[in-house]
Amino acid sequence: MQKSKKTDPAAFRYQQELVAWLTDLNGSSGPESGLEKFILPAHLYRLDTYQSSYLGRITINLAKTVFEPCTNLFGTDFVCLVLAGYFKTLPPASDALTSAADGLPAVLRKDEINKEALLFADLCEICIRRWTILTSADPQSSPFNFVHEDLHRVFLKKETLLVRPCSRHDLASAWSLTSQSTPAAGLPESLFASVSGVLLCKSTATDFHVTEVPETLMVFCSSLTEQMSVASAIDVLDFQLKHFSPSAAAAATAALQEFMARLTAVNALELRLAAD
Amino acid sequence: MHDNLWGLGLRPSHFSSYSALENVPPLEIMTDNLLHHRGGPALHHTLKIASRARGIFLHGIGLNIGGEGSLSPDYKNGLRELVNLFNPQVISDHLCFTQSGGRQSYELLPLMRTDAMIDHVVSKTDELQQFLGRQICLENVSAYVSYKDDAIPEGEFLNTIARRAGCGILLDVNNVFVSSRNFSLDPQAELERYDLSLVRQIHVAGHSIRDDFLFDTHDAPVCAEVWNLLAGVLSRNSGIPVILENDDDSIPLESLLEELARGKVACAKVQKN
Repeated sequence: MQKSKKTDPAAFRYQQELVAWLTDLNGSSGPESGLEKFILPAHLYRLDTYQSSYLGRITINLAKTVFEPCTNLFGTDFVCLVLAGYFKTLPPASDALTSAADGLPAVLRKDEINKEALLFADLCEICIRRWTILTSADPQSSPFNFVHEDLHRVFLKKETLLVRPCSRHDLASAWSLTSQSTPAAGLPESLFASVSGVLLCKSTATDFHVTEVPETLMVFCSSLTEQMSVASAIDVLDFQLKHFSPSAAAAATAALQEFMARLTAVNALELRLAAD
Repeated sequence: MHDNLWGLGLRPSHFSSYSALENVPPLEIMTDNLLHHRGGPALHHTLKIASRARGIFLHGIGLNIGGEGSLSPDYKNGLRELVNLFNPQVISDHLCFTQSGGRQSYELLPLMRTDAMIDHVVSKTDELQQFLGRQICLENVSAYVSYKDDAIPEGEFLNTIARRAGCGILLDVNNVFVSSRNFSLDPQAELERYDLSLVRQIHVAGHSIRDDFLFDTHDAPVCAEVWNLLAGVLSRNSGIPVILENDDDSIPLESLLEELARGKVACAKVQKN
């Protein structure tokens, strides 16, 4: 092995100043960067190329990967704008670009007055958890690496509009947003309903599927309450399916069967419906 | 030119196209797209396609070999997992720095070409090769700025590092062209500085024109001048695998395969003459 010689830290000053200028995004151009002490003055204007491509590249990459569901709902431009604002405040430090915006939900939630920001914060958090699920080992699919987490200890949290990830259950392996619709958020009800009805499913076949909960099932979700454990929530859904009025039960069962068939077809996931 | 020496960068947008392709060319996989993936569709599809490819090359952008300080243990571990998983013919990253002061640029920033940088890079390359138990290759990057204290031409800079560290060179012909033009140098002369006996893999790609300089965008067809330069390299050593890079996800796989085929023919013609 080559004997390592400690390099004089001064030899890296150009790196520190170039990266600091690039990530500061303080509006100064290449010629105004102060980097003429290292870089040939005739080339300073070309630094703007690095700077203009830097934010664009990382935000688009994240919009297409980690935040793809947000991008599908709100468009690339909006998501990139939010990410750019985030990186201007907190320059990225993570080796892996896909982890660079993990702090975004917390930053968005600091704006307590803005309800849309709170909702978007939750969406971003779902996206980050979804990405962790997407890239996690099979068959373990929980970001917490629990294969058989006790569902009685996982609770619905109304204030975050999120259900913590759960592992397998007879009905489905699912992570879902199950809060009731809140028109006070100022968003169209249908948008929120479809957002809140998103089920993120991870199957043992490694393929991933995002689907909307059918309208006829949303009524069941609305009966779920805060402090209810996920195990209880699923039991409530099972119970309502079995014990609702016959006509409503038939419609709900048909909707559920169709929904599960869709999941099964895409995921090759074997789901056992709440049986007789 | 053997068919197992000409390949493409594997893009997720082409996963389904590769599934339908009977004859999968050699493929280059991006380390950073799969770093720390323990499962999931991206890894699953990459593994499936890689098992049918006529050769695998693993190429990264986040190693920061020229950056101050040590290599990231997290990055090294993730890289080693991917090396063990894919057993690539060549493992490579860029001769550059990407971060400093706890901040990531995710950009391939050129190194100041000094003896001190050579010592620093050799030391870190040596450390990584010991860690992996494998040789790695370092790629020349495109540059738009040069430093007042650059003391060594780029080809000789890379040659010296490769000889001292026992690593290989990934020669990006397009990057030589872009950097040469940007600094009013002769691309052919700059290319001839490289010791081809150290070159384990070649990249070829397109670039864009930005005002009065060339910009390495990796999203345009390879220009004729770059194909000619490549042909010149291959006429001196025809056994080096070539990977065509293109980061534009809107381009169908068929178009890239056609461009690769045209490039092979163009190079063969030049070599014949």
